[in-house]
Amino acid sequence: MLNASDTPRSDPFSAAAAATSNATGAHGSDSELQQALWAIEFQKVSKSFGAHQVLVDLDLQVRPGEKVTLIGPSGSGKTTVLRLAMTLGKPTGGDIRIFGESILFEATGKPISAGQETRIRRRCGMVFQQFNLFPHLTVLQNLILAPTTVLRQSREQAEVSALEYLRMVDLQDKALSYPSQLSGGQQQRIAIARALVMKPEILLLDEITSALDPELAGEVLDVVRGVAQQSNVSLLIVTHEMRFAREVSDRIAVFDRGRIIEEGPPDKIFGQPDSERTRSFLQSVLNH
Amino acid sequence: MKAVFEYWPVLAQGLWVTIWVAVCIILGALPGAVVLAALRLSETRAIRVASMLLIELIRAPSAVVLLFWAFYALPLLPGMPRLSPLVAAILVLTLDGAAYGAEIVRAGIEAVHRGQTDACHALGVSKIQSFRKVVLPQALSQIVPGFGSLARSMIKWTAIVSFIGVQDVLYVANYVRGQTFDTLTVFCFLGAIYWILTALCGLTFRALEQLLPLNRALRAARASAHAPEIEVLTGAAQ
Repeated sequence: MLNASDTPRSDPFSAAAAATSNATGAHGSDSELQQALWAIEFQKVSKSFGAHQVLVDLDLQVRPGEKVTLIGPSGSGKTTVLRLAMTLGKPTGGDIRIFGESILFEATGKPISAGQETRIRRRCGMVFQQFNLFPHLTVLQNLILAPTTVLRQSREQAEVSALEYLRMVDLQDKALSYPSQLSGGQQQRIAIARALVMKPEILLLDEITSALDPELAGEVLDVVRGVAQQSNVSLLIVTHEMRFAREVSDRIAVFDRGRIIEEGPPDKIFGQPDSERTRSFLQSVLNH
Repeated sequence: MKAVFEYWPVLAQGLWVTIWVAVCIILGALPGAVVLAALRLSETRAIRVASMLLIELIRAPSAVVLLFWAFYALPLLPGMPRLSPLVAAILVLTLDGAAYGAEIVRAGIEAVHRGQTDACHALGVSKIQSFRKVVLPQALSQIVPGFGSLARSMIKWTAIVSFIGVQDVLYVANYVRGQTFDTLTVFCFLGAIYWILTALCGLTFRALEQLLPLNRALRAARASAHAPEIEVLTGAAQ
């Protein structure tokens, strides 16, 4: 399905990989370098909705290029982690850093400006459970909206780039279709292409197959496998597809009631989990 | 019909005033509605509450009461100008239309799924750009039919301007009725005039709906959903 490797001149992944290495190499002092080692860093992050505490003093780090999957029962706070990293919400406490830069505070402790936040969050991309394609725009228009408005690319330049990504997800023939003319799987592949066209250094995937039947989920997961294998983009994934999580992740973090109860390499988590809660969760999911 | 033909020049003049007032208040209400809706959706609570109170203040009284107030009571307040009947009529009906329209615009914007703005945010698109390029084009599919319905009502609202002496088609028709005593013909003519005006307004808004991007996309989806059926039917015919 992935054709990006057929066109090495225009490999859509190389730019993201280069950007990531630049980001890690751009910092001068040791402490800055130490911080920049993490693509995403949650420091004692908590989040409440009214009286309901969703995240409790969460510490989580993702290295540049690392593929981390969050698993756990529904309502355990996994999606909230992604939404906070994407600045789609503000934590109640703690700090979140993207490549060493706080998305909440300046060095002086003041809240960062909207402009600074925009600059930092441009390094992240997110794909949603419900695709969230723009229904009034064609597939091609969906892909060029952000490059033309945010990156100020010319329409022609943005279209060339968009078509490369459409080829990558094997949907170049749907460029002029509207999202409502596509299957759920095709829509989600377009949503992935739309996120990648902005060349994010971090990609957040929020239960991207939950709204799809198994056959369509397979084609979406194939695209993510391709992204994981061929690019150096950091992936933070929330999924209930355990086989996929095991295959694609460098590390798995198990969530329960707003806390990480266990984390480690996939073989350990799925083979010999330490926590009884992890064992019972995996048992219930895998036997389902 | 003799009464209508005989007095056609004055009736046409009245009709022209009605059309002029209707066009002014509809076109004036549209930006007013957008501004009031934007205030209603403000992130600042004080602005939200103030705009809501203003909308309710305008919507609550009868339009005739507002009209009388603007024309008769307003000049009694210190420093307030005496408005001409036409200006007072256009001002009051525009404000009333803007207040009703604001709720249509607000509802249209709020009907756009939250995921759309989330997706814009995730792509780094600014709030203004996301409103202009994503939210508003989709909201228009909700707003335009609602506003079309309001515009038809607004044409009928113009009938009250005769109460303060604006010589619209109702004012003139009443005059013709007094001169000819042909009540049935004059009021049938009047009914037909309002029917034609509101029908034309409805057709204009229907045409506008066809141009909206989301409606275009839905039409394309419907056409492609029916395409296999059409192919089967043509195949069977061959």
